[in-house]
Amino acid sequence: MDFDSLFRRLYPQLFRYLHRLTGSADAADDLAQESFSRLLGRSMPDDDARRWLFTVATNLARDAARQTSNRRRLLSLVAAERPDRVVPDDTVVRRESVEAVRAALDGIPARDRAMLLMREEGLRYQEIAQAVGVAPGSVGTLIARAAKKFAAAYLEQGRGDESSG
Amino acid sequence: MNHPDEGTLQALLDGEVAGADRADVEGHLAGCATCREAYDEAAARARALREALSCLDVPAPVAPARRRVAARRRFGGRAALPWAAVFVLVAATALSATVPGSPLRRWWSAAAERATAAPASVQASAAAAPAPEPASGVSVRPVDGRLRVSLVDAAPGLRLGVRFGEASRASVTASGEAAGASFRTGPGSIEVRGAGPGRVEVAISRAVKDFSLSVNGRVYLVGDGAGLRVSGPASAPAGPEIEFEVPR
Repeated sequence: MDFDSLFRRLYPQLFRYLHRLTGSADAADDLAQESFSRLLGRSMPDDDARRWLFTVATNLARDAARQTSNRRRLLSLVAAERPDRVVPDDTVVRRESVEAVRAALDGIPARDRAMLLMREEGLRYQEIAQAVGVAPGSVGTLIARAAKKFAAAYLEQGRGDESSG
Repeated sequence: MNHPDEGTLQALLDGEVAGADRADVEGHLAGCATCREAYDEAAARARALREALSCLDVPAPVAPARRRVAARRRFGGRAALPWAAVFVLVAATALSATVPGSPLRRWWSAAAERATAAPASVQASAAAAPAPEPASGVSVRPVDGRLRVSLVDAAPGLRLGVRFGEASRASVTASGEAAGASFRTGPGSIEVRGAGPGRVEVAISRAVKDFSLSVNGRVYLVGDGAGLRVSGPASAPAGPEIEFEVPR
């Protein structure tokens, strides 16, 4: 498959993954572009390209987060951009849901978050293992535990909202 | 078989258990209410997660992203510059009319006139150009109209082109021997570290109102409400770009 076809097929998937991972449409776009730019000139089978792109994108996102000394600051910038770009601001309920999901995702470890989100994008366990650097045999257990952590964080978020409201 | 662990149940749910192993686990689930309940709970969590995540999603900007990635390729080599000039002259003309007192207005206006007089030849040249070499680069969105671009440890002989574009994002691309540079972005800022003696292109977006470019600690170009001020080693203007060369 040529680069254009690969881009059309994988960019939406990579963007969605990165947007969910970082919480920022701009960051997702930047990181996805950077990942595809690094793919230019390389030759590899399509399946390898998907794994390669997700691995590079995950590393870039991790590096970007490390470079941001104050993550709260980044999140506040992201929040500021949401009303006009990220969230279709149709209902208050929807906005609160978005914030609750975002908070729950941010409340679990970065590796767990990446693994859950890669699984949602249909990556195989072998691909996920290579992308985050764990043993393939441990992926099922790690994803199961990550899903429980997310569920607990999401429920906790709901309780917090109820008690504050 | 023994009770499957949570990882095995998750793997079954995700379609990662095949063949005889799958038959074994499914056979166990059929006869073990405890494990069946654990499996159903994992499936319910997966459905809830999928539904929750979907509320975060926004449309992917496929076409703009594709154009920007393609631009990195195009600007990767000298062959792409005639095409870039066609793009730039429109933006440069617009800019020259909106920056009062810009010392570059005359240069860019003249370049625009030359390019407008011979658009066909420029297009033909672009069409016949060989595919440029890959480039590396990044783009950022200016913050409150501000953009800071700094090159650190830039090699002597590095050529640096600055142009104004119509995109909402500002970008920096490095090509040739500069392509191995590393990039660091922050809110409204781009740092390029270790660019070799190749070429770096800075595309300033339409949203930028306050701009500065520095190379190895020295300010080369400043643009703000008072206009554009060139303080770096600019070469003679041959087109609508400002060209610098890092001193050898």
